[in-house]
Order: sequence, then C-alpha cells, then structure tokens
Amino acid sequence: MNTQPTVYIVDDDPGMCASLRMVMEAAELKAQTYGSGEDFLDDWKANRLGCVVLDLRMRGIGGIEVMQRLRAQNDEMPVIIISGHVDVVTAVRGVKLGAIDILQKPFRTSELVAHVRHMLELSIEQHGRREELIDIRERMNRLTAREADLLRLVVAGLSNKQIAVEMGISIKTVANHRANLMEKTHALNAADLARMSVIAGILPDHV
Amino acid sequence: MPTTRCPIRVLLLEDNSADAALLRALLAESPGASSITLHVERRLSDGISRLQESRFDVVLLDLGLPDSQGMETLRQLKAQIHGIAIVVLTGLADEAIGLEAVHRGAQDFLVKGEVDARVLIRIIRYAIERQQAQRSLQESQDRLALAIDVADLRTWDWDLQTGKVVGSYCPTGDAATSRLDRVTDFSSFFSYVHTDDREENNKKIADAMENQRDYQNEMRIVWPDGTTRWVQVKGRFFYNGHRKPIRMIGALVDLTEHKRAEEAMKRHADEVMHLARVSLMGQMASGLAHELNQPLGAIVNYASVVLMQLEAGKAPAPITMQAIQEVIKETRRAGSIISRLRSFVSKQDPRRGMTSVRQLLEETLHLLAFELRHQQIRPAVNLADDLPLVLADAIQIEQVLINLIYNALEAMDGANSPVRNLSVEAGIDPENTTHAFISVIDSGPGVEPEHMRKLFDAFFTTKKTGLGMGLNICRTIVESHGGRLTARRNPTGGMCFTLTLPFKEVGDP
Repeated sequence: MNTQPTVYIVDDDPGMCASLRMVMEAAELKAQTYGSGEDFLDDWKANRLGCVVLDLRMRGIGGIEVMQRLRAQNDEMPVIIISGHVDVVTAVRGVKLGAIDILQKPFRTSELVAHVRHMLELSIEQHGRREELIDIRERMNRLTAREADLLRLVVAGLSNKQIAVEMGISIKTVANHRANLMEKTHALNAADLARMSVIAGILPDHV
Repeated sequence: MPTTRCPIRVLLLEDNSADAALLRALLAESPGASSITLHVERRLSDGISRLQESRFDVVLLDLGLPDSQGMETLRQLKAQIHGIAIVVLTGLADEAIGLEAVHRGAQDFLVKGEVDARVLIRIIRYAIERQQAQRSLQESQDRLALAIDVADLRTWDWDLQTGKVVGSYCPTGDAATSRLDRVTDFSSFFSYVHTDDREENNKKIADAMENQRDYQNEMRIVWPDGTTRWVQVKGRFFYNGHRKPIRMIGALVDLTEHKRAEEAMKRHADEVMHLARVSLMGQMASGLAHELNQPLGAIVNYASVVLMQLEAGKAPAPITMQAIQEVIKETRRAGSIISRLRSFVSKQDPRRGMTSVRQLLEETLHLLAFELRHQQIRPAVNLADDLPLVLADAIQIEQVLINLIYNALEAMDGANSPVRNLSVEAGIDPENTTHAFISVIDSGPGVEPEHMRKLFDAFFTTKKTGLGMGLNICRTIVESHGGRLTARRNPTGGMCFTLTLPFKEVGDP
C-alpha cells in the first residue's frame, strides 16, 4: 500500500492546473494533474489515498458530474470543488455527494492547502476504517455457524446462562465457545465485539 | 429594298416647262415608271408649301427659280424642309455648282440633258437611300448623344499612331471632367492620374492592349487645381492586320459623388458592425472577467509558492525560479486576454489582410473560453490541412464566428439536451474552390422550418431578448468580404451555419 496520499488536481485551465501543482509540491504534498474530467476518470482506480481538487466548470465533463461518477463507483475519496462562482443549487448537489469542500475563487493559497491537508487526513481515516472493515470481515468469516449464533446472542447482551438455555447447551460449553469467539475476533470484550459487528454489518448500528 | 417597291413621290421644282417636260418624259420611260409619281412646281415658295402639305421622297431642284436663285435656293429649301433627299439640276457648264450643292447637303446633282432614263431613276433612288441612311445615322447619333448626356459620360478617341486624342464635348458637364475636353494627347491625360493609381492604371492598359481585352479601371484623377475626382474608365482597342493596336476609344464617368455616397454607406455599416460588436462584448463581459481570473489566480498561486519558500527561510531553489517564470507567463496571458478584448471593441478602421483560418478560430474560441467552460462544451475543431490564408478583416470575422457560436451555445442550453455537441469545421469550399468555408454545427433543437427563410432578416428573432440583428449583421459582414453566409438544418438535428471567405480579392484574375 502506497502510504503517501496524493492530491489529484483536475482543471481545464493549464495555468491553474500547473500553479496548483506547484503549490502542492511547495507544501510537500504529492500532486497529480489532469486537464479534464475525462482524463481524470480514465485514470481512476478504486480506493486510492488522497483527495481531489476539482474545478466546477470545465469544457466537457464538469466537476459535479465527475463527483457523481466517483460516488457511483463507491469511491468516497474527499473532494474540494473550486469555482469562480458557486450557486446554491450546485453547492447543495455537491454536499449531497458527500465529503466535500467548496472553495470560491479567488481563494488564499494557504486556505486551499489547509483544506487539502484536512481532506487528506479524512482520506487516511477513511482508509484506516476500510482496512479495519476488511480485517473484521475476514475474522468474522472464520467463525463457525455455532460461533456466529453465539456472537448474535452475546452482542444482544445475554448472559452465559441465558445463552445456554437459548442454545440448549451447557454453560461450560458456552464459555468454551465464547473464549474461541473472542480469540478469533480479537475482541477485547463484549462491547468491542458489538462494535465490530456493527462495522461488519452483522448488526444494524441502532441496536 | 422597300424603296423599290413603294411608290416614289418626286417633286420637281423647275420653271422651265421644256426641261420639266423632258424630265417627265424620261421618268415615264424609266424602269418601274408605274411606281413613280411626279409633281411640278415653278416657284420655290409653292414647292415648299407643297412639301409641307404632303410627303415626298425626293426633290429635283433647279437652282434658278423665279423667287430664288443659286445656292440660296438650296439653303432656303433645306432650312424649311428637313430630311428630304435633294437632287440639284444644273446646266451643262455648271458641274462645279453641282459639287458645291452636294457639299452643302444635296444628295446628288444631275446635268440637264445629259441623263437618260436609267441614270435618272438610279440617281433618284440612290439619293433617297442615302438620305435615309443619313437620317438613321443621325438618329443613332442623337440617341448616343442623349445617352452620353444622361449618363454623364465623357468619351475619347485615341489615335495610337499620332498620339492625338479627341475628347467628347459635353456642355452640361461639371468643371472637373470637362477639362478632359482640353486634353489633346494621351500622355497629358495620364499625367492627371493620381500618383497612387498610376502604376496600376498603366498595368491595366498594357494588360488590355496585350491580351486584346477591354481596358477597365477605377481611379482618381487630380486636376492642376488640386481637385481629386474618382472616375471609372472603360476603353476598347482596335488593331491593325498585324495585331498592333492603332486606336482606342473609351468612356469615362465621374464616380466621385457615387464614391462619396458609397464611403458614407460603408462608414455607416462599419459603425453598425462596431456597435454590434460592443453589444456582443457587453454580453460576454462577465465571462471575460472570469477568464481573466484564471491567469490572475495562477499568478497568486505561484506568488504564494515563492512566499512559502521565503517564509520557510529557504534559499532560492529551482522551484522558486520556476514560479517566478510562471508568474511572468501568466501575466502575459492576462495581458493577451485584455488586448484581445480591446482590439475586439476598438473602433479601428476595418483592415483586410491575409488571415489564417486557424488563428481566426483560435482567437474566437479564446474569447468564448468562459462560455464554453460554463456550458461544459468542448468544441470539436476540424480544420483541413494546409488551408491557404483568406482575405479578411480578422476582427469582423471573429465577430461573426462569436455570434454563430453564441447562438449555438444558447440553442443547446435551452434544449437541456444530454447531447450537446459543438463542432467547427473549415476547409476549401467544395462548391467554390476560390473560397474557404467555416461551419459552426450544433446539436440543439434547430430552427423551425417556417423560420428558416426569415433567419437573416433584420429584426427577426425567436429569442425572448434580442434585437434580431445578429445574423443580419453577420451576413452583411460576410457578404462585404465577397463571401456567403448560409444556414441549414442538420439531418441529425441542430443547425449548421456556413460562411465562406475568398482566398484572394474577388475579381482578381
């Protein structure tokens, strides 16, 4: 996994594009530029670490449409939209597409860099969550049918005694299974197990 | 010939009855005598009265009559009766008088007692023929004179062998061109040609002479008093058997007033075009302001990079240098946007020159950069390779292209259609290879078929706002360049506007 996040700059004005890249490099951030929405989407790969600095108005595919296509592919990469003028409708559409910042031109360069840094942190965080999710799912997948049943009862808050009655086995057997479950899932305690279950989608998060 | 069949009416003015009887007898025995009627009068006054009352074809006139003698008789008859053929009768020794009579307008003369019937009738018939030929020549000269007068023409006849020129006399002409009448040799005429026009005029004359073509030119003439007149000249050479030009006749018309009116019209048209351009710029102003923000934004970014470097206390690095260079580049870009804008609205005189179509399109798309970006349209530009330069006023043609592209963008914006294609094509006009074509093609809803014919009319518009002058002015501009502006509906929807521009001056060989 490449650990250094990248700022993907998409602007059809070559001067803007090149100057933003230099700003990022001066701020010691890795940057990559695209002269159009199409070029960016052509080069797109899932789950990359970084954020997109996207011009709203471009010849061809515009900023909002680029975002829509990213989200349609379940890419939650944070986006900063920059534009000469942002109307409310566009702003709302952008916000609805999530993880978004809107900067109106002219903006201070330092302001942009601050936003970019924030978005990159967000991306790293997202990335961390995604890694954890994959991890948890992997662990959950290793559970036997019995252990999975036990898991649901444990996170439902039942005591070993109640579980023994529910499953028609002895308390001792419940305790054994429970120890295995905790070991396989690397859960610290019942609460941690519940959190993992929510992340893995085994439990609805309102329980 | 009609005269041989129609009856010939002869009036004989003769006081000598014996001579009269002799002529009557001669006529009676001449061939075709049945178609000849003869009336005799003894006195000139009676003859004149007779001629005023009824039509005669010929008068046989004895110069010695009771009431008039000698040449005076002929003079009086001619003065009172126009256009009649006169044959003078003379005595044996009077041949000299007969010749003088012919010189003074008689068609012929005959010596009494020396003619037979055959000669007499021939003299009479020829006299009538000549009289008629003379009359029709006179009539055509009268008509020509009238035409020349009405058209305010001056004519000349240049004998290339002697160098002498005969100019037309035109008493109603204005002072300036009637000076031509005083020009008696061609080199002095050419010394009046405006020095700027002289070389071209000489070329045209030489060219006409060499290629046996009519000479034609529009030029300025400066008279010694300093007055300058625009004249149009047209001349034709006549050649001898060795194809050597020996004579040139020509006509000249004073175009000065016409030119003045034309120039006033042109100034007026230029004014309208300029106003249309200013109004177009008004529509584009906010877009251009945004466009200016692009290089300005980039400049801020580069300057910030330098500032960051300085704040961090770093020594000047390649990136610092590069940032500064980029600042200069972007500043130039901002400058070029402004100068493009300035030249577009500036009120300079229209200037035609050899212009690159590619450059025209690039400049146009630069001016429309914001609109294109705003509507998220990337025009497909399809330009034929090696397209020759066209003769055009770049600013005016950009104005036309901006109008056409603007219309296309507007059409597609309103359509809200998912497919919004704009393409610009250029190449050699397949229908007229002396011209280049530029087409602006959109994928909008297109113009309603019933509106197609009115599309270029002044004040015709289908827009909610708009004067309906855009396309009308565009067509005026293109046609003033010697090109055409046409519109058609694409088979696949949308419109295609095509303008053509000549590769060189229209009318050049």
